[in-house]
Amino acid sequence: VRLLPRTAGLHAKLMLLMAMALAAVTAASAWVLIEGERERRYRELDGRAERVADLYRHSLAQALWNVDRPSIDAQLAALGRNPEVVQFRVTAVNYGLVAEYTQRQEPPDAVVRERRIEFSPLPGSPPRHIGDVRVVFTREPARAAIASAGRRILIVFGVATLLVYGATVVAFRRVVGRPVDRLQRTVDRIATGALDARCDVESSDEIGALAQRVNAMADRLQESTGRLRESEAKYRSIFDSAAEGIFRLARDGRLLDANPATARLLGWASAEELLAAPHGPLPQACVDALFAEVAREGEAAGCETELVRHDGRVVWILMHARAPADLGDALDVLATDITEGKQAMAALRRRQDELEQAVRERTAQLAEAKDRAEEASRAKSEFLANMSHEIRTPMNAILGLSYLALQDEHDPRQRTRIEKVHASAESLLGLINDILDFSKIEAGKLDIEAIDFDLGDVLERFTNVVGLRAEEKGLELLFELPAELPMALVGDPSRLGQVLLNLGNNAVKFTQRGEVTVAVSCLEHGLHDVALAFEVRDTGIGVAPEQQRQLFSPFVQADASMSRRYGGTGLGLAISRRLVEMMGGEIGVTSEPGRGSCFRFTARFGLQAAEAPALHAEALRGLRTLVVDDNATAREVLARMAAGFGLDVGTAADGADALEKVFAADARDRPYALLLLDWKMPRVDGIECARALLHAGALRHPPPVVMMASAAGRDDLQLELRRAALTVAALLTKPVTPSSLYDACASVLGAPPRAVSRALQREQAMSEHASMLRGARVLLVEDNEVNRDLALELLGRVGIVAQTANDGREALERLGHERFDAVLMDCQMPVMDGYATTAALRRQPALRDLPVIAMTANTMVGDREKALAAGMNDHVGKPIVVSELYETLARWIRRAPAPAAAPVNREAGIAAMMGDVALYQRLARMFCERERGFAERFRTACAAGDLETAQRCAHDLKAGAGTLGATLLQHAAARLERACVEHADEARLRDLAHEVARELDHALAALSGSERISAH
Amino acid sequence: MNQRLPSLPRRRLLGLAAAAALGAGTARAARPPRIVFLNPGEAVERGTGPLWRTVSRFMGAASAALGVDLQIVYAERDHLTMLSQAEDLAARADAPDYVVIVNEKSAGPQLLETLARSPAKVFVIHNDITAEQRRTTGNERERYPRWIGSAVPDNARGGWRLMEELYRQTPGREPLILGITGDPATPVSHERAQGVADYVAQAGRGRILQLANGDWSYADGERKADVLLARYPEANLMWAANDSMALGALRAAKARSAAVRVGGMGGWPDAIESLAAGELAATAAGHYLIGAWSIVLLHDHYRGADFAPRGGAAQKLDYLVVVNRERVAHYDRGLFQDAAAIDYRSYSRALRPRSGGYDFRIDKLLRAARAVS
Repeated sequence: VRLLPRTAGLHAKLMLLMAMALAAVTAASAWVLIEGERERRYRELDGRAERVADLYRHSLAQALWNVDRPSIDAQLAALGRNPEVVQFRVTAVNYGLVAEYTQRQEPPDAVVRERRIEFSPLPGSPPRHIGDVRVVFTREPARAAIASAGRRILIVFGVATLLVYGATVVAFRRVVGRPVDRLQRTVDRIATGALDARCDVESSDEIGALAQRVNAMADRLQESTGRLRESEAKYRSIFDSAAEGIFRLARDGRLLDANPATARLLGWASAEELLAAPHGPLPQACVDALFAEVAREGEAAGCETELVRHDGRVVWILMHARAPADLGDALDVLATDITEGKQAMAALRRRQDELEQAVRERTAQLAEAKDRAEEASRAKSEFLANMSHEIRTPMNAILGLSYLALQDEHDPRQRTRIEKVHASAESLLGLINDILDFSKIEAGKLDIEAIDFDLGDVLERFTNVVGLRAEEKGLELLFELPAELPMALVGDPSRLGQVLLNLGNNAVKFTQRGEVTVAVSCLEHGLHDVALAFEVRDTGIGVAPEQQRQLFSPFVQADASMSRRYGGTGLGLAISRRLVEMMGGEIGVTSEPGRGSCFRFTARFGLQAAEAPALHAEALRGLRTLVVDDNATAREVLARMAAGFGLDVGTAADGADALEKVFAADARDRPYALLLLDWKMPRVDGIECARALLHAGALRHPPPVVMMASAAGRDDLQLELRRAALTVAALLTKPVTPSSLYDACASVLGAPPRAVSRALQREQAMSEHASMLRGARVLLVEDNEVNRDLALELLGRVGIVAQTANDGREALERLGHERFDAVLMDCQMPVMDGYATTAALRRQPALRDLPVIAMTANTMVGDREKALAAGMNDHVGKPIVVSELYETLARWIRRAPAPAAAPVNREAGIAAMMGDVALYQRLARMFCERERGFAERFRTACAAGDLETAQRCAHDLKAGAGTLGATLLQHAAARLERACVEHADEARLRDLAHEVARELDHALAALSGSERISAH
Repeated sequence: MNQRLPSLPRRRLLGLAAAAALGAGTARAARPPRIVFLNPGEAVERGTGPLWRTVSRFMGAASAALGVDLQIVYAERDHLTMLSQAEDLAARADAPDYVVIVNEKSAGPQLLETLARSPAKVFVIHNDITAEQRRTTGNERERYPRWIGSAVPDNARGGWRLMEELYRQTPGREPLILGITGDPATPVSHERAQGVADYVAQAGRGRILQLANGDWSYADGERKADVLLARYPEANLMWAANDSMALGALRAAKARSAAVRVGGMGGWPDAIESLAAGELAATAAGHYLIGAWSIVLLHDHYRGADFAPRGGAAQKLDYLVVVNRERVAHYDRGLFQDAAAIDYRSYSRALRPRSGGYDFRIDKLLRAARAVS
């Protein structure tokens, strides 16, 4: 806050300060006096209150003693004259208010006095407290008095202060003000240029000293002005002789000052002429731009402009401008002629444009070339796909027909030939698939699926393919799987199988004797995923180190000679490497020539949400088990696997060794609880060994025997066992997987079985599909006659009533007047292809929901999508896989609902036979033959009154039905048997027999049906 | 006191009627004595209490019984009126034999001075000439020879007897006593209180907590008792110098639920009623008979049997009786309901000469009343 304007003089400031000081002192003194007055008045008021209270304390004593109201009232009335008393109360002890005088409400800051009223009734007796008096004084009158005193004090002090202040002002003006005024006038003259003006020094005080200093300053000012003029002259000459134009520019474009260089630059003879010109030399737009930039940036650097000189020439000038420090609306500008530089720059720019144009033309040419290349590539893919289709169509016929041919009886020579045809076709298909896969990889179109699958299934398929070949070459195929290996995985089972098959086939191919071992181990077991390591080891010829690197490159084999000797495209490992990489792993090989190779790859899989329970059972823990196998690796693997279940495992290298150990254990009363016995062993083979153990009768505790044979040798083994009249507890197919071993051990040792085995599930699914498809009407649309016949045969086998059409048009005609449950549609046909046909039939309301299943050899990615987009419901690949065909058809053909309760629970029946499907089928056949005549036999026995025979008939039927899982028949037969035992009356027996006959019919139908399917 | 406009004609009429009733006789012995009573009160009830009408009533009864010619003049509580009436009386040609006056409002000396001009003899009742007044007036039969005597009830004995009765009703407890007597200017106040103090001193037990002076009114009695009972919550006996104050005190005690017995003096109908209702404990009664007793004394004097030798010219008559709850019915009946029950003649020494002082005790009167009924 400013009390005085900035221009106020020293005099005014001093006077103001003094006035403030005086006011402060006066105010403080007045305050002290007023406060003293206030204190005195209040003290007096307190004294008055005190006195009144004391006075009445005594004066009221007698009256209150005698309770003289009038006297008390009279005394109180006397108080009314005192304006300070606002309240007065007399109270008696124990009684309360006796008399009261109230002028008004008690003010908050009242002076209150209370006194005890005491009275001595007799002189000298102790005073007695008889009441109290309370007097309330107001401060109002005192306050009024204080206020009036305060006003008086303030007036007196105010007047005194004003007098002192006035005297001071006058004195100060005389002593300081006037000399300073004179000094000021002199300095003003100096300031206006009268540098010779000097002050009179009147006194020796501060003002005198100031005057002397002003004079000294004026001296120095005179001196420095002279120097300034010299400097001015110097800079002027620099200005005039500068090479660049220097000028001062006003906002309206006129030049205020300019050096000769400016005049030259702008085409004027002299600076004076230039300055005298009526218009500025620069265009007004340029001037405005300069001012604007200086206003914005503080200076304008590097402004280029083109202008026409006074003499008509066109020049480019470069200007730097800034605002001069000393004045406002003008700029100091430095200008340079840059005409030559400008011209050079323009030439450069033209050259650059030419270059860019050239680049654009070249790029267009390249793009065209790229388009042509892509076109060619697409044509190649198209060709490949078409070729693949064209090759597959006859391949399909060859494979399918040879498959069908193999199902029928042939003489051995023909059979061998057909088998070779089939095998060749398969191998040819493999080659084609390799090439196709590789082309997909090249095209980057190979996809890896992520579906739930069972690793066991993959290994089983592997066994089916590789095991057969190994068997043929006399090689042992072994699985080395830890018991805790996760089996329920998420990934691409077909691609995993492809890699394993490739490696397995290679291993078998390059191994002459010994074994091929597939080992799977778990590298990482996460919560949701798992990393598995697969090893395929062989004892074959091995790979030389220098060749190992090239193994996984396409079109390269170990060496050319090998290619000739072993065949193959050499693409398999390259494809495998790519597939493994896509499954998040890597593939490698370690090998020693002549000793064997080990191909190892890793892959990542997801884990299914519900992982199968671990293969452990308390019932198996600690049971003594002897593993007998002549192959050391197989023995080792099996022993480790069995130990994984908690079994106490010993091993024997051959039959003789085994016999020795079993007898020794039996003699020591520590018999083996289980014998895992390989069939094919040198010298004493499995059968001989089993015979020695089981028929000797020498054993006190004959152990149950599980006999092992390869998949291919299984039927032969059963034949041999029958021939030797030997019964073994179970058969186990090699290579052994943990689950198959567990199933076998569990069934023999009475541990809880696992869930239904996969083989059984598949079998059951197949049978369900078959029963569902029986009698379905399917339209087969296929142009290739051979394939048509093949498909018809396959469909006919499950009782499908199939009609054929040669092309799409024909198909539409047939669909127009016949009803079908589904259409199997080839996609590439003449006249009207599958896609067009489907689109056409979908336009007919009646056929909108008809299931249409595409058959296509196009296994390029996108075929399936294309089929679905065309309105088809599903897709079956060519060559046709029988189970896939049935499954797909069953999925879409929803015919009669499944019967409420199956007459025969085949699964239960097979489980009762330890999974021996063949045995089940044999028993079923026997059962059917025998019991077809049940009704006749029973009726005959009843008619003869031979209830005992009748009962035996019913009993046999009950037992047989139970064995095969025909539960309903079993129960019906049991009721009939009981009725016979109880000699029930004829009518009841007839009813029950009737019921049995009905159930028997159902069961026979079911059994014969399943028999026919499984025969395929 | 506030009756400033008494009805003079009616007063005269009443006086004449009384004179006519008493008849006129000339012979001293044969002629009945003529007595005029200058009654300071009113002839009819005007809110100042029944004292003076009651006194007149018993005087009338005694006069009738003794064959006295009584004339009563009412001053309507106005002592100026009373003075002028005395002047009228003094100026009368046929002066009465006796004038009975009351030292109402200390007007006694002026009355004596006025009546000194009359041949009638003057007798002072109820409010005696005080000791101070006597310094100017002298005693009876001294400066004013025709002032032959005065008679007042023995108030000290009344106080004594009241206290005696209250003590009797408070057996086994230390009596703690509060008293309200009249204004200090009235001698009666002192006498009554003195009797109380004397009895307490004589009884050897009990203590007077405080004695206050009252203005005889019911309101003052109540007001004082209220404060005193608050001041002395331990008090169990209380007396007042008249029934009005006693009844006021009683009301205060009831309001405070104080366990205190209250006794009064006077035996007035209000008090009798309260006694009968079982509220007031006792009252020392019979003051209003003083007029009747003065008739007996003047009658005997007229018949030649001067009362001065029997108890002096200034008679202090010990006749006050204490009425309690047991006796209240007899008292009421004997005194107020059966006016003819009192045998005034039996108290006369002229008619029944006996030695010794007069005995106006009410016990005897009550017994007489009982015998009659």
